[in-house]
Amino acid sequence: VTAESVVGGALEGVRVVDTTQGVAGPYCSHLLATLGAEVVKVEPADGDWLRHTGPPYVDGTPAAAYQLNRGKRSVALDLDTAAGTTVLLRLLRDSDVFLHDLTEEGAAARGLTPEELRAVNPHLVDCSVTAFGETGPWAELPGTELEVQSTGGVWRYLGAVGEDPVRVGADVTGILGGCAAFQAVLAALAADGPVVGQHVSTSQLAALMGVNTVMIAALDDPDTWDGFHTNAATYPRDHGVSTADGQIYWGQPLRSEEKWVAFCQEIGADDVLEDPRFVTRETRMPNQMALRQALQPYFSRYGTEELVEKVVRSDGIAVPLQDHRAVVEHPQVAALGLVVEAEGMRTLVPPWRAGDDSIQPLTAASPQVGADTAAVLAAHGFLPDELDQLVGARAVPAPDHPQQQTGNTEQGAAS
Amino acid sequence: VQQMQEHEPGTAGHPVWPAPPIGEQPTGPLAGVKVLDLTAYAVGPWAACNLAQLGADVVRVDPPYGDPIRAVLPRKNGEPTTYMSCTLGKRSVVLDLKDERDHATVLRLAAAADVVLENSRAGTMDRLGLGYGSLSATNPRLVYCSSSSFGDAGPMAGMGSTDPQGQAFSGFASGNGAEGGEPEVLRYIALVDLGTSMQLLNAVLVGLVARKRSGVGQHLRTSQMEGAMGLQMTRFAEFFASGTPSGPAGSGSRTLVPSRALRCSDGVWVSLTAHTAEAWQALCATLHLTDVEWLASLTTHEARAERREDVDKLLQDALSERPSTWWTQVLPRNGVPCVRLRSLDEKPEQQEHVIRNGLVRRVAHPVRGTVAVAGPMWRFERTPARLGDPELPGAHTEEILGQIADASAAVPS
Repeated sequence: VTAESVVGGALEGVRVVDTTQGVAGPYCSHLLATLGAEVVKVEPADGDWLRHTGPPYVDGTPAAAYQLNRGKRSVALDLDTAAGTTVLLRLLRDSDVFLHDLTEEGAAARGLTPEELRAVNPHLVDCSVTAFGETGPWAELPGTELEVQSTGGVWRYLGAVGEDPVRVGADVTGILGGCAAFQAVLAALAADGPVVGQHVSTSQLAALMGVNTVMIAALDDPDTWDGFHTNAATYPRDHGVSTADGQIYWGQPLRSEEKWVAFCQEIGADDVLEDPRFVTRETRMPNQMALRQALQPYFSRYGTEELVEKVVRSDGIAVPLQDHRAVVEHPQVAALGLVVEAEGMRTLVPPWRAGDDSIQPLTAASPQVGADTAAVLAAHGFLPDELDQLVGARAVPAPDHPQQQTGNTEQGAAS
Repeated sequence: VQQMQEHEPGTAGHPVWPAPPIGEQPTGPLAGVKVLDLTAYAVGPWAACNLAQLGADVVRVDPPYGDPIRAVLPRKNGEPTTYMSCTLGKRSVVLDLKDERDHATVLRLAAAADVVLENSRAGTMDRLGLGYGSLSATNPRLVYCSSSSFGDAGPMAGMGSTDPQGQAFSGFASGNGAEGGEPEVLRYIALVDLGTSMQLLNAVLVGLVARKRSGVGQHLRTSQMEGAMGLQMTRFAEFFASGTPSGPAGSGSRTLVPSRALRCSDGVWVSLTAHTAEAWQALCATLHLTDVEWLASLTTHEARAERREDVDKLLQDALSERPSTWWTQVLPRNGVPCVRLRSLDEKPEQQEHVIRNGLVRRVAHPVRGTVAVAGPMWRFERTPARLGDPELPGAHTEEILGQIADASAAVPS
């Protein structure tokens, strides 16, 4: 590792064993792998459940699972067998980080409590990332993205009161839960001096509550039921404003009063300027909804690009409401190089950039289930006849176990 | 500003850091890490607040004219709640980054800091002479982390943005809304802003881990656009594979079937998902659907996804036969994710599970009473995180400036 590449390789040599499935844990280990950690993904013979979603597919693997697992190695291991747990403990003996989704109850049942893990490896950072938390009344509830969003109440800020519920389309609790696990692991590794082996934990719900802290404080018996936070749940759906050919988001008054007047005149909205609700910034603030409605007929006359340009020229902020294709094709995204082509497949670059440009996206192919079982076990000192015994004990699938084909390879061609 | 550009790196004088307050010492994994928080609004301040929870010693610079976030309502006992929730556990000193008379103090703190955080528009800190180049010249171990709106290059560098604008531009809003309807913005909970704050915190930790190995700091950058795109990592993966933007799907998912909200006989909505083969079988058994021939033939997820509408309709019919209280007991017990959507007047923070896990805490403001906020997101067995209390802006100005003046008198320049 050279001084120039040290940020991107900050975790080179750090060995991670990851038994998580879905999005949260795998996103955490994806970030760890991005920084050079060696991630061994331990999954059942049929694979992480995320491998059984989709379409779309990439080389037969659901696209999300494909991207999350790039650069990791896959070991197929049945942790419901005693031999499987024994193998796991042997892997953990020579590892630095154990990422899992065990609750306190689950860890105790499997002989993987923090004490039992430390007996095997006193320097191990063992991190639990679950849907709802490792303890408490909901700990044993099965849950995915949708259930955590529902429990955390995020759905109430989409859709309309009395109508069908709407979820956040993105897997926000999975990604944020993965971030929180990444933070717990990195903080444990970053502390001064030798790494203190310890148990750390977080959950998708904890991360969702975390990013809700502004709302939790706002709704805690405020002086006046005022401001956009307090009433957000009962507001109508927010589609931005329509232009002649799309939608833009224009959410605040412009900064300079002269430029604001000039802007209104330019788009022909002179009558809006005369409305007493909109004469000063102070009166416009509480009347933003009405202002948006008043401007709508004028905004509809212009194309998105032209209108955004006019607003920006007036010192305001406006952006187009874009779908994923428009985002990827936008000159701003191109200028920053946020999407790259890797092995015939486009991918997002990591969410942070280092001054030395050393943080780079993972470009390796994504492993099939169990692709690295024999190699990883051999590297951890398992002898060939031990591997045979594990197959006999059904802890490891037989070499002729049908390769789990979760998707349709004909649809797998990357665009 | 002109004079600041002529500021010579290395003339900042001796590093000075105010002695941490006497009393309870931090226990978190970052105990001993000094953070200078030069941020405003929410993205930067909440990242620094989380660093304080992890044990770091955070000194926050508040401008004399006030952080603009203080104008955001509501207030509690006169104090803005958003400001309170994002500044817990910090010491605040009032200094004006735009006034060069305050720069000597800022530079001395930066020379002693392990981490500097800023979230000004791209280019602003360089213009003020407080960019990474200037500060790292005197302090090469500095981890300097920036968060902008649209990044520091390209046609939109230097533009500001609010949370809904980040949602609109990044594609985040395009996935929200009634199925087949217009995309809509997640209203006012600032999830994209605080999600970006999570990436800023990640960046700081990456910088600290790298520095532990190399001994040198680095400039790490993120932006609201990258934070918002990062939140959609799985949706972008699907777009890259299919070439077709997916659009709103109501409460459902286009890649996981079944997974959607369904209405029960008591009119209450529940969320229901069958993410594994076992959960799917258990769901069919619990709902007595194992005899439905076409359903039994859907043995793979791909087959279920192809008949998503039929599957959803069948499940809706089945769930409307019993109340939500029944389904949220029986289905999870059989391994099927199923929870009730909490009603509008039912706060998540009042749930027993949330309270017992400390996910919501009440903190005490020295003069403004108590306020509820999210608890630490992580538990550390050996190095516990701790939530600090809110403070008024500038509560520590006198103490901090006094210590810096004393240090200046003691050290020959």
